[in-house]
Amino acid sequence: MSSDEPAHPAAVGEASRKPGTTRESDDSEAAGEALAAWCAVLDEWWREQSGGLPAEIKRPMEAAIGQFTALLALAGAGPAAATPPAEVSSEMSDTGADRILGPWQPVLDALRRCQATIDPDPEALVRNQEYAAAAGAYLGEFARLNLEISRRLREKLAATDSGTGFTGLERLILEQAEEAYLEHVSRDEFARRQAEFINALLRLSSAREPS
Amino acid sequence: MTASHGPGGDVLRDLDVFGRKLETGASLLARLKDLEVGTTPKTAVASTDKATLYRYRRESPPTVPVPVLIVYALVNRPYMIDLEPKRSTVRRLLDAGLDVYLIDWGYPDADDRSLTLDDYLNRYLDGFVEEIRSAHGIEAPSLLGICQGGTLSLCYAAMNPKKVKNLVTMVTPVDFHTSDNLLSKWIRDVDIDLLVDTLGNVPGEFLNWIFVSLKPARQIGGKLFDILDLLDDEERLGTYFRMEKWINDSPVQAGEAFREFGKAFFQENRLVRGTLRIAERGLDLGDVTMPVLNVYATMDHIVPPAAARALAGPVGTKDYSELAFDGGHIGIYVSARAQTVVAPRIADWLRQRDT
Repeated sequence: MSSDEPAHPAAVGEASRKPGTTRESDDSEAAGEALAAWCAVLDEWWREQSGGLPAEIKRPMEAAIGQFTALLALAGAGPAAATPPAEVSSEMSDTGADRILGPWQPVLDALRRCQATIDPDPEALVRNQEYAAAAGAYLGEFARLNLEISRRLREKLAATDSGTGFTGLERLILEQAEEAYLEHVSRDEFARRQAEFINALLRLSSAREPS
Repeated sequence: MTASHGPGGDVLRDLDVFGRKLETGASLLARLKDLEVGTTPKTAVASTDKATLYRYRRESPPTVPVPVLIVYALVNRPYMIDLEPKRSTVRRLLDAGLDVYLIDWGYPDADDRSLTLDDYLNRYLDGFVEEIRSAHGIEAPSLLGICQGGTLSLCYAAMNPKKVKNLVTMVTPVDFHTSDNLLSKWIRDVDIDLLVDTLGNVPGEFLNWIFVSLKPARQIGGKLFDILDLLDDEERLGTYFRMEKWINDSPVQAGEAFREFGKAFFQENRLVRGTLRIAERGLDLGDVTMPVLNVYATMDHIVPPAAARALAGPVGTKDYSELAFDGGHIGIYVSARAQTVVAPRIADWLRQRDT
């Protein structure tokens, strides 16, 4: 694992706990519980409302709620928000990518549609080491971003009025997410890793035997 | 943070309101049939391959006799500038007295893989400029280039200064290597030769992924509450679905033209460096000697202001003006404020130079 990879979530948690002090872990747990409560309220409300809605409204609402609750979960998850790239590189096509890119659903959806048109060999996606490394590095960037957003959201939420409604919460989340996202993707490192991922995907497609 | 920061009384009120909006939205949606876009009446007056020249129909004679030809980008569909009657740059230009033409580049397919920038500029655009010159008996129409269409218009004007009366560029990238140009930074290390050699034409889905990735956060929580907020407003609901249609309507890009544009402009920044060649012919922005109005959006995350304003230095004209719009790359066309600010100012500028 390279030096700029995030440390394993368990190690981060252990390292941050001071001997004889449990306040940070208590706060983490409370934050997680509070945000899980928000998610539960929203999920239950949506279950009650969504039956019978036309598809044109239901589809974007479900996507938007999924993204929003993924961001809420991010805030509640703390260091667990990041998964080391080595664990996701072989899972790009399913739950690994979903977990990391959950809060960034529009990117994931657009990426999946793009991959479908580039049409790489599905078996090669799993076998090819160059692609696996590039995909892992790309997802690793989002894992690091999620960790940063998690930290910022928890700080902000700690200072937020407990009577905040959904629109207030939404404003707060968007501010933090947008700011952190732009800082992160503006880095040369992100641009390089994204380009390497694209190039690796293209090489797989190029190597595919015509059927 | 404590458990008391969980959902409180405001949440229940919010959800109650959202629930009522969902009900209203469902019934409004039933009335929103056939969400049409680009509905300002127009007539196809010429076509070459998949490119079509349209002339918008006027109800009264134009008050600015020199017609203006809108040159849109290749990467999106042009109906963004005519999204709906109340959000239409085209209608506002017509209202301001202009005689308006538009090139619709169409949807390239496998037959168009070998099209180059030479084809787009010297066959399609030049052919349509000749059509307008002939139809009106004039030396030159004005051009209004939008985004990449503005870049193409600059190239055309540099190669054919006598055929362009006035040039308006809107949210047009000129310097692709300004420090805040995220799109350009992202493309810099992409192997464009590999992309085109592997795929032929470049899928719209690829560009869509890149564009969506530029600013996805606003599409997350922002989208949820955007949707909830407009569900009980039929007009805004219609606008939302038309925008969604446009966002997802990314045409395939002709392979060779994409290779040229991606490498020469994005990666090598040849336009502003003065080293661009199209069809073996050198191209110099110093040869853009007609009046130029450069319109940019101050909060544009796709074409940052510096990327557009870089035109001021190398352009050859002595009549160079800028118009700053407080908004974003899309808002400059569809926002309510843009309707009263942008098109009227463009029309006034053209009218003053219609001699």
